[in-house]
Amino acid sequence: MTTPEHAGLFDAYLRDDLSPEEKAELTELLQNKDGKQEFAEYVQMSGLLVRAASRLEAESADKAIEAASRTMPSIKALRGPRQARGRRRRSILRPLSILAAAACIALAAGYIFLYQSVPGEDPVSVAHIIETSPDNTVTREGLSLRAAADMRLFPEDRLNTSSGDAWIRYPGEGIAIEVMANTELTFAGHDLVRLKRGQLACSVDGEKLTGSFHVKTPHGIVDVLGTRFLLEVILPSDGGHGETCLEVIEGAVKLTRNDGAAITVGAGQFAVAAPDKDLIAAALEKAAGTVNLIEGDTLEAAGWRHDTRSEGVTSFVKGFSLSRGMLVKGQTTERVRLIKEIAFDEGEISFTYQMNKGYWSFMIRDDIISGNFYEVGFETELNGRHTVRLIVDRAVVRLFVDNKELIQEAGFKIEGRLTRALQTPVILRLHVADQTTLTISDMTIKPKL
Amino acid sequence: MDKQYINAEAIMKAALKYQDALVTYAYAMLQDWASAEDAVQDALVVVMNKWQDFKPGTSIYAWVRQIVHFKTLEAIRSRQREITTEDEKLQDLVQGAMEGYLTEERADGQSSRLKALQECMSSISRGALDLITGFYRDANSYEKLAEIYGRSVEGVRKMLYRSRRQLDECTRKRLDNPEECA
Repeated sequence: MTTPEHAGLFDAYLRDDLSPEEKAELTELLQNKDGKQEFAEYVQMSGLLVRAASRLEAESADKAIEAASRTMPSIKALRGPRQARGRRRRSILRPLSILAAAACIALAAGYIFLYQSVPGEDPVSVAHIIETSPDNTVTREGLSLRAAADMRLFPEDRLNTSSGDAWIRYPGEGIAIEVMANTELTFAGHDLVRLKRGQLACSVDGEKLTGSFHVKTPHGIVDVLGTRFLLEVILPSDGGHGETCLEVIEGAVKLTRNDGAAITVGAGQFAVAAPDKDLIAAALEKAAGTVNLIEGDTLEAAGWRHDTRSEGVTSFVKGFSLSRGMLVKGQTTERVRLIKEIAFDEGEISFTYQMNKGYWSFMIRDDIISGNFYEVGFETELNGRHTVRLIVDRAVVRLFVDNKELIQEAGFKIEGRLTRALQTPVILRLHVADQTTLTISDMTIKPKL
Repeated sequence: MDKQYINAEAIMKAALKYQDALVTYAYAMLQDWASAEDAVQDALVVVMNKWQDFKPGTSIYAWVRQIVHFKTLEAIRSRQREITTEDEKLQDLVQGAMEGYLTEERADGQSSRLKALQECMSSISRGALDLITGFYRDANSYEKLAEIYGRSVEGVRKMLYRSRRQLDECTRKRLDNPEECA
């Protein structure tokens, strides 16, 4: 058995935190037989603890889902057989992660054989990544893989969007999910994802959906048919319960809290699932027509977190009604972001901004359900107070700054082309760079109806 | 492995059986769990590409571990950190210790050991489990855990040591007497 002193030494080694004296001590220890054995046993146990502790989380989430399923027999019935199939498949999913990495090798035949050789256990993916920011990861069977476009996702794959957004589609099911930055999402099966933290926007085409679709959070479960909604899990850093916030844009969503209390949230409504809050559906401000922001609303990216919405961000977020501000902890590459979804082919957006340093950008993107991801946007480092007017006319976007049309020399840059289908909502997105202080006022969005 | 059964699928299946042990081996070399998983993943891709290089009749575990070893060396080199002769000596000793201990038999039993450990984890206190999780899964330092749980650093160190010893003993007991513990 390892002594406490040696345990400290081994831990320091495994954390790459040895002092020169400790390094010498360990070197000496590893030169005798008992020391070698003691060290190797310790490393083995440490590895097992890493693995076992990582699995604890997934298992406890499964138990929570099972508990929720007991109060919702329909869900249990729906997911039971699929979940069981997914679990049996685990052992052969592991090679898949390796095969995915080696997909370019000419072993496709062997790959197929690998799965066909196990009767009844076809390697059916549940979804796939359409696009992702670099450095996002997918954890599969304990292995961390770099997320990539076209990557298939299998039951129990965990997506971690530490570096930026990712877009997911469920083939044939009409389900599209935009996973925002700093989100952890597990693909539990064909009909269930677990949102541990962060935010997602989900579109479900009811006509294509063959069964139902559920999103489990630490606070409850969302039961989806055909709908479009935003879901966010906020977990405070002090270890409190946190909350799950749901905003429904289209259709209706059933939100069931962990204690069994349930509510149906309709289009234009939001609800919050938290142990200490009433479960009610309240109306969001209307999106159509003009949306006004309150004068003086300020965004300060650095150091703000999305769980501090009560500290001055609320009014800004509410001003956008359908959107939820996602303020991420400020580091050099992270940004503040606001999203606004609104359906129009033609319209106008105008606002005034005041900025003293930093930069910000504005993007218009096609609806995620259509599968097009072309963006048109502009960014600027132009400081001072300026009035911006953006005219959207189907695929053409014109930008006016201080009543002058698109002036590159003034520090604006326009990129991209909007290639959206008619009658689909566009997503307007405001990014504010780290260390930027931006005040926006008088924002109006006027769709031409 | 019998020659007539050798193909990419059989080699991969055999290699994957040792995956946990291989990650442990790489972990000892790289001192970082995520990097160890990456190295083993890279090694398994090599196995997929070069499976014809495996010599029938030899140990597939030893062959794959050798590939993992090369991958760990690649990873160490890619860190672009100055490596002293003392570092190299320690690296060799760690390699020797792990190769001597993680035999094919032990590697084969790694999954049973993991299962036993997972069962044992349900028997320790919530507080101890939180510390174990915080230290091993979340890679928090003693200092950070002391801050989170409002304990002294020494208190955290002792509790982790005790919990780990308790889990170690429980795991051994379960492996020795599986029926008794069931």
